[in-house]
Amino acid sequence: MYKNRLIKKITNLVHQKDGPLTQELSLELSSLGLGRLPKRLLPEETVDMICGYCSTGCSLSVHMKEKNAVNLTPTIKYPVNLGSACPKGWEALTPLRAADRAVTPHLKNSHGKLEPVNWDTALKAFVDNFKKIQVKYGKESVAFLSTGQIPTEEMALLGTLAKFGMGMIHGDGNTRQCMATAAVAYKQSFGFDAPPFAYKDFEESDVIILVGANLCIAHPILWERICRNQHHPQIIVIDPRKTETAMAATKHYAIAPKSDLTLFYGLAHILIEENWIDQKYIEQHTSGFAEFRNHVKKFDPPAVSAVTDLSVDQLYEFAFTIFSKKRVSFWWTMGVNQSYEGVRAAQALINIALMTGNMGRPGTGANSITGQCNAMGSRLFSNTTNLLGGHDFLNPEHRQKIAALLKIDPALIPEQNSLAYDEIIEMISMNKIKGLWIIATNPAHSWINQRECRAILRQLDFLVVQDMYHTTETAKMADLILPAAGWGEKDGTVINSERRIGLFRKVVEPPGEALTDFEIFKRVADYWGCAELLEEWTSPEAVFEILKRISKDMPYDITGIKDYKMIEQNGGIQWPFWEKPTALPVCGEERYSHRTPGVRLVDKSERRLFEDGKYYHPDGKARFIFADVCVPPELTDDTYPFILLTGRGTTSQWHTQTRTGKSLLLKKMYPREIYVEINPEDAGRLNIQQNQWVYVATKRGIAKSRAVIVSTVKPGQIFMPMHYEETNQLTFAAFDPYSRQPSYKICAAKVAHHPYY
Amino acid sequence: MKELLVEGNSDQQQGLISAVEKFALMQDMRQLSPVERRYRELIPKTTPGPGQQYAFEVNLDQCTGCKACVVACHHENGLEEDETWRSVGLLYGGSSQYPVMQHITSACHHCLDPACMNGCPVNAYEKDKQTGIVKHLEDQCIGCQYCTFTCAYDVPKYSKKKGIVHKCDMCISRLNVGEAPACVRACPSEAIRITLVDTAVVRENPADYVRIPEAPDSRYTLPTTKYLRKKAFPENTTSIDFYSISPEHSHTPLIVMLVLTQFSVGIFCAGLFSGNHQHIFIALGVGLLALAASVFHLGRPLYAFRAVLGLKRSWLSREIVAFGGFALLSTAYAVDYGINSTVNDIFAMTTAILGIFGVFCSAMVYKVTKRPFWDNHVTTLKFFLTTGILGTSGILLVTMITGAGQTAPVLCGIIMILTLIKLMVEATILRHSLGHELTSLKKTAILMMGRFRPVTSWRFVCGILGGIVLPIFFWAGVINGFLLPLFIFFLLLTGEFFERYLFFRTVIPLKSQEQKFSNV
Repeated sequence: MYKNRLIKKITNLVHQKDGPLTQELSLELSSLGLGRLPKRLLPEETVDMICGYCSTGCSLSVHMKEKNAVNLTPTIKYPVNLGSACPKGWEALTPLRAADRAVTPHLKNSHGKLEPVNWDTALKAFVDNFKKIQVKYGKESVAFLSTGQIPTEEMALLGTLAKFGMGMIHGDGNTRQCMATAAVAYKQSFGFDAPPFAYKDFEESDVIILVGANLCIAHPILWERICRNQHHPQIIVIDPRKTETAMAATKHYAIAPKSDLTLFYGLAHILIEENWIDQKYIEQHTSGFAEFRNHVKKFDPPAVSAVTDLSVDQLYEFAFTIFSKKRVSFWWTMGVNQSYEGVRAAQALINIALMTGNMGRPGTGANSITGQCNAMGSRLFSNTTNLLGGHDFLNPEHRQKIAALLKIDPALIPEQNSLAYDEIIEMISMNKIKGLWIIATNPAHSWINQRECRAILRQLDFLVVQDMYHTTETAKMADLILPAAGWGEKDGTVINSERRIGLFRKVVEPPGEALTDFEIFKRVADYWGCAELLEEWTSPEAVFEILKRISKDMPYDITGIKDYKMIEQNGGIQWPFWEKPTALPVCGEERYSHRTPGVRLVDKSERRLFEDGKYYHPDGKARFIFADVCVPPELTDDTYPFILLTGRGTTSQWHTQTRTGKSLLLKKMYPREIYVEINPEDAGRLNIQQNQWVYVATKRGIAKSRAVIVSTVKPGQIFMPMHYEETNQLTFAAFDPYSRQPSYKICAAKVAHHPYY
Repeated sequence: MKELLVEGNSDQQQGLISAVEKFALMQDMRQLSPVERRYRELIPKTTPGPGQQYAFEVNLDQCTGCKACVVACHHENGLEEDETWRSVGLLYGGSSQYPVMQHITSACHHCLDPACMNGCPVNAYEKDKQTGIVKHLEDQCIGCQYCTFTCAYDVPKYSKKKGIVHKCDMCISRLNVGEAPACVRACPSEAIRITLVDTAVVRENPADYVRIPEAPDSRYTLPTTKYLRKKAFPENTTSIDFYSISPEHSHTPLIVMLVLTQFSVGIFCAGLFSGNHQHIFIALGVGLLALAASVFHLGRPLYAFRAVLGLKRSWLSREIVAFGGFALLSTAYAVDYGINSTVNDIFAMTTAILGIFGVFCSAMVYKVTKRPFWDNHVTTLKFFLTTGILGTSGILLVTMITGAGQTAPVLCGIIMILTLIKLMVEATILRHSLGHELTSLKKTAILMMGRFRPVTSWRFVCGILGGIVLPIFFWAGVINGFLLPLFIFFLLLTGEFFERYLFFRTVIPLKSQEQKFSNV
């Protein structure tokens, strides 16, 4: 025995096959059904929660060991992501550990330098300054800008506190930058902001039409759902660029930038002329078709061909595909939403879906894929554009109803609408808004025509930034920074693109003195002196009960959801979900029907809307809404000959990179430096070499960027990813007149070797 | 509907469901989840038979560049903070009409003739007999990082923290129990799968494997990964990194080690020829210094003795043994000379031959990496010229100090000739900068004349001044004394250090590291 050990020791000294270094990498079977996992990170339990990045709404199972979140895997059973996640999701825990987390409040001292203070000082400064401003300039001189990144309960609390407690009139969210267009389009067309689809529709379509949507990069897990389609679908991508998704699609129509509305009206024209439409559906379930038919008469194929760069044959081929296949679904993302005429473009897609009867059936629909994890929570409950829960500030009955439900004085509810994001910025520039409270968003990076935005924010008397990090471009400009907990450090619910309500769970303690946004709002209420207004708002789950109450008899009725646990056990629950079993429209196969101890899972786990053809307008019909096509707000000329397109760069980058920039792993997977994609023809003409530094300039600014010469962008166009600070110094501030969403996707630019020429 | 959703259990406490409950749930799900079922279909149903091994197969038409494989591998294998075993490259090509963009996911190719294994001086790599997987033995590794040079695909990753390298093992412990590797499981579009390949087929058609534009020649290591793509790549396809030229690590201990071992061997031999025997002490001192320097390159120097294990295959192992032997013999020689003041010629010759063999091994160490800048006879020539130049100039200095200056003119002549040859040899690389095509050697030349222009200039200044101009003065007898030889030696030594610095920094690996658009 002893001899053997000695021999082993000696042989090990010479050739060691196992030992501590080997063991560090060894795997062991997890008892939680997660397969083999790193031994040193073996979890004792897992906590499932929705990822805090995009609106796909994947579920992540966070591995807990000794009460610490040590690792994660995408949740296998969750009906959205089925065990997959993109790099951001896999790396979701890392940004929480960043060194630049805000761990105490910071207040600007008399020298104009931010210095750490305690919460008492911070909140006193908050209240004193904002109240002073309100006394001097009126109640509406203090406003807030919120986010699509916090749970619905926190949004509702913020909206209630700010508008009913602090007397603010104006507040908006960064969701204005991502889904305002879709929300307005749906509201006008369907009578309520109701995305009709389930992700299941990706799997059931014969034709999938993706407009301005680069799913492979922006929503990789939704691309996975398309890959699961067993019907050999035609995948048609409409995008000026040959994106990753266009490469993977079966067909790519590279239309001229912002010719989308013309294209859709042109398609409608052909569909009507050829009688490739569903007369019965149009008659029974829609209104306004005759006017629409009239409107598209002038969009004859040759004219449309000239504008869109597609041939007449291609237009007919496209229209015929829509006509000839049974299940056609239309999906759009920021290429449509972020446009000066995005609402009408989205509605043009809705119109085509309606007139071809591609609504309410499996694998159909006019479907908006949104951006942020809780964009839809913000649409319903942020109390900004709409009165809490999709109500109307201008409607006295609605004000009464909400006041009664919240048990507050109706007089506390403003009788006027909130200004949109861009209008709030404009009010600041006109010195009418002097105090601003920014929560979990980074306008000094993300807002269109960023330099002007920064200059305007400097005009404020008092700027409060509530964020996870004290290093965001906006936080650096703040007078007061309130350190907030992030995803994984708090509870609440979020709603994904297919209306599925899922959970955020607390698995990590917020660092230092950072507090959940919920707790910060509650403390603000205390210091402001309106705590009694929020007596019932004790915890996120208590707020969820209030939200349920508000939802009663609304299109998004969720009164049937008992509690958070029910959401967790069912793999999220799509709205609507009524208390009484009613004839709910359902879709989806029997997914997981097996009995497990104590729990029975959703039988029909993926539901779509409008299967009965009933819409939310008083007449029960959907409306055809349309308008004339406008010219782009900024056209190219001899000095600025390029069309500058912007968009998402890689799957590892998220928006202004405040989180994805904190992970060494993610940073390895995207270009360190800002780059501009340019076609070889243009590069040749301008004598630009691959990888060379060039200057991209618009009338607003100039950005030194690496030239990436690729033929995926067309001649005359250039592309820059939005994640780098410089990009939005170039963009042109134009807005959709209905949704007030900024038109990030198009402006005129030049490319040069030197900054000045 | 509600009734359909949840049954019973309503009065259970709120919060997390218990681990037992969850376990049952998970087990159930695992049986039912279509994802799990499909993932199982992505690995072979049987283990490899005789003449077969496991291999990655990537369907490029399905890879969209989401990089979930990279991050999943990181998390499922518990790697260090920024450590990755998989990487995703990006190729562009085609025309404006038919543009092509292709992401390439790659990890270890589990080669039939793995260069990492062949180069390893301590046998820390094994090719698993049953599965063909190239396994790295963490506890055997001494952290010499030589495999990061020899692997053509940039697979082994050195961890400074741990002092060893890590690499992909195809999740062998998962495969052994029928689980899919992390990357296979994580790919949302099912682009990666594990297949069985016949090794004979790989040997016959190596070009069918890792058939990607710009990929290293598959005949070198016989990789087994197959990349499937319906359409061929357009001719103009290049990687997005192709035009970003970035320097490699300097490996300072190796610079010191190489220059000093060559100096040591050089002065030993030169001394032998010139009949001056005190040089032995310098040779020994410098040699030991060189060996000490080399130890700093090891992540786990305590286990350096294991380097004898790889003699059969590894040039690095041979280099270490040769120089180890050289140091040992010259110590014995020095002791012998110190005591007896006599010289055993055979003993001396043996030592010298061992030293020269060591220098040859040094050259081979770099030659076998197939990196174009290293993989030619110039490397061998350079190393021996360094040996000659430093040896001769060292002896020149010694003879001047000891006052035996009669051989000085001859030595000066030798120095001038050797230096002239060496500088010319080195300068030949620069002509590649004129080439039309952006070859690996042109990239090296660009680095030398661009980012490293000052180093390159000083290298030539030192060489010309120390190896040609000053020796002429000396030869002509303009200046006498030992100060000039000191300058000559100092300049030449500095020049050689510069040359070796450029040797490491400007080499272009066969596969560029994953650093898109990095600083040039």
